[in-house]
Amino acid sequence: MANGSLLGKSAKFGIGATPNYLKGIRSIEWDPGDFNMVLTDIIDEDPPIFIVADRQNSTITIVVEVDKTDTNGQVALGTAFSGKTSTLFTLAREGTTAGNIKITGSLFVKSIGKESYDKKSVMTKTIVMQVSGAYTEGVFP
Amino acid sequence: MAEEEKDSFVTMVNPDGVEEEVWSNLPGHVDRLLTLGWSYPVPKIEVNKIQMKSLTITTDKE
Repeated sequence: MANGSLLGKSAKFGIGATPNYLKGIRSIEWDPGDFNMVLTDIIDEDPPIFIVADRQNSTITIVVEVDKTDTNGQVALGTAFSGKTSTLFTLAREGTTAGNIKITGSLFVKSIGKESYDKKSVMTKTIVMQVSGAYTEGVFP
Repeated sequence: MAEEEKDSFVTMVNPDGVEEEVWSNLPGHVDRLLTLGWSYPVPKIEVNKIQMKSLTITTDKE
């Protein structure tokens, strides 16, 4: 492991303007999405060329240990899913100490995940969220 | 929820009887919690002590 390698153990994911960081997170997957490439279609321009348009399809996928006491975190995500409501989010890839990268924006909950009940293990589920519009990169103060 | 909005919270009682601050401006959240067995706290009434100098009880039966 290189000196500057990031460790995932401090990563956090929160929702709301003042982030309520979710409890019981096992893993977070952040996909920044891709740029939509548009082919120009201008008369007399030959051949058409690709130009870069808006960024799209940024997604966040988290696996959580189901915790029904996480009222303003996991339970609130369930509410946002049921109500088709967008909510603000904060993704802390490295943690939340000063200077750590902070990704913020707004998202919809696309899938709240299947639940399965295994008598020998903790209940987990996978929540998939779609970032709505552009996100912002900054740092924690 | 719009970007410029701030979170607001309301005190509710969870199904175990413990008070918690609940995110109130996430649409539908409080209503959903009510269906999950949450409730609003019962207002606490503080009773002041009454100093009683004398008390006379009379009955109409001898």
